[in-house]
Amino acid sequence: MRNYFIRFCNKIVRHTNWYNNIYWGGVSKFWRQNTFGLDVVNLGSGPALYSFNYEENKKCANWALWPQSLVHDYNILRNYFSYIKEGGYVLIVISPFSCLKKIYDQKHNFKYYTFLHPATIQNFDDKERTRALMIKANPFGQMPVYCVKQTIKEVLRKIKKMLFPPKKDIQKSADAMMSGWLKQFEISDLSAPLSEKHLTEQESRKKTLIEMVNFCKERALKPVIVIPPMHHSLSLMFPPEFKTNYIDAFLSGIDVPVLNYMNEVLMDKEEYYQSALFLNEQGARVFTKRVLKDIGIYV
Amino acid sequence: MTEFLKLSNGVEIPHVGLGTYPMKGEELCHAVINAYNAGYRLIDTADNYYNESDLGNSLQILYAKTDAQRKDLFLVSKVSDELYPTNSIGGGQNKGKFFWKNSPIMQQDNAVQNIVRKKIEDTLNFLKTDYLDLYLMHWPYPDFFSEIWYEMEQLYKEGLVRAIGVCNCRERHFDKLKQTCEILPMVNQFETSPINTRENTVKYCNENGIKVMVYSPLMSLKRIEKREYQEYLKILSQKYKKNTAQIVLRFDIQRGLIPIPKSSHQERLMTNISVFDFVLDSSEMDMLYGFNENYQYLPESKSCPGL
Repeated sequence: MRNYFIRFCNKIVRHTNWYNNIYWGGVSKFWRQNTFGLDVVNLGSGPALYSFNYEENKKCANWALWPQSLVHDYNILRNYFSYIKEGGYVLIVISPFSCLKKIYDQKHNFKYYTFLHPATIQNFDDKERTRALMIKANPFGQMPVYCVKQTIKEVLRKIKKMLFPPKKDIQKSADAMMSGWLKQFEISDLSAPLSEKHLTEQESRKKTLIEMVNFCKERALKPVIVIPPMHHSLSLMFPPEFKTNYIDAFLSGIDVPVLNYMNEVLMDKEEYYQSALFLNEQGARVFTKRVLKDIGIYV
Repeated sequence: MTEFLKLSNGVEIPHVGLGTYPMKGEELCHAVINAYNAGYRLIDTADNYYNESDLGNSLQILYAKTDAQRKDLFLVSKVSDELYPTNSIGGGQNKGKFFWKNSPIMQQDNAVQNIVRKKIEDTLNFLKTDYLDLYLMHWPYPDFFSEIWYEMEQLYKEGLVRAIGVCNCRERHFDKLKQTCEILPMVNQFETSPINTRENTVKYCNENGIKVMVYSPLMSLKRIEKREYQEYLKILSQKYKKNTAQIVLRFDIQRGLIPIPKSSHQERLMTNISVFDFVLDSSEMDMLYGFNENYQYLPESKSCPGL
């Protein structure tokens, strides 16, 4: 009886947003990944996660997670490239600050234990692996109080959202996003050249990017660098010097097509965005179609 | 009885073999004896099948109960990473313990040499033999690919193994090895079938004197959604009075490949090796090739990231 109860609760937990997208950061798509011969995959972090919607293309996959660094993008590629057909496209999606290093919590590492090879998990810990797999196998059994708490919170949030739908404030989200970035990366002037620390980080990230590009080419995959669009309220905050120092310098000398939609006018419609940085479903569908057309498939 | 092919170093290798994963204990013992009696001479295992000891015991029983001697058999094993125990959570998954640069054990001096040496010693002890007929690198571990191969070359030169090869390698792996190796692999073991013909890799291996061994050669029979393919196999099986498994194995034989189907059923063991008494004509071979869809059932990159 107890087992049935736990199984029933597990079923409920596994359908919740908090479990799939917050606790596990959306990695359940990798647990379910079983389509081979993919034509296109995209990697990346938050902007990539919300920029691509392949519901009309079964042979495409969005492998972005949030948060995620380029190093983890590479690890995912190394683990999952068997699912991509020869000649398939790998969209390496970068954001304005992709060239810099973010400090990730150990907790952000936790999700990788459920789908990456141990050799590709940073600071691998066997105990963490066991814990992660036990929770994945039996979430309610392993953390019943937490599951109940989070599920109730989610239900209450949904009710609140239904009764008091939040108002989209693109400008406010742009201000918050920029202020968060400046604080996170300790930048006071976006026009200024990179600091010594940031130059070193950029060099390191560039090395990873070059490795990814070469990795793709060695395996007859087609890498394409994609910079997703953002609402003008955010893109206008970046001075021209920022593009030169943080993007052009980062991508210079890398022999790969670059599709930069950061200031794309056709994508600059408020109806496409859920925030200044992230597209909504409609925007993602439009953008995805645009990118697929630009790389020359599904035309 | 199986026919034989010749490896690039002149060693004769049976044209069909017995795969042993994941058999253990009594099941493995019965399979080995029945297989021998049916004419099998090649037996394939690996250090991380964790059945080498059971296989060694089975072979002792085989020698005792039949006229089989060690020299009659062609024993194949592999050098591999460790797997998590099957009865543990996430069992059967790779540990990343051996041959990955992030692993603490690989930080030690001469790690690759020490590990390969220890592994072959253990394999020979478990199999109760002083030599192996074929030793394979289980995956082209990207962090230490050339280094592992170098150590395997030393084992070959010392006579501990009669032949050396690799598994799951593509053309670029061989191109990389060619830059540093003295001896090109004599065998490449990977999965291929009429629905995953891997023609480029097979062609490359043929051109370079590398024999191709096929694991899970009957996996395509499980692809029941591919109705035309399954129907065509039935047509051929009726024509030649063979079962569909035998048709697929014959396809491999005629491509010059060495299939190593696994079975513990006496009848299947017998039928799987009864594939030398009929010939598919060229139009039938072409038709089978025509079913290729580069179908994979195993995401190889998950077992060996970056392979």
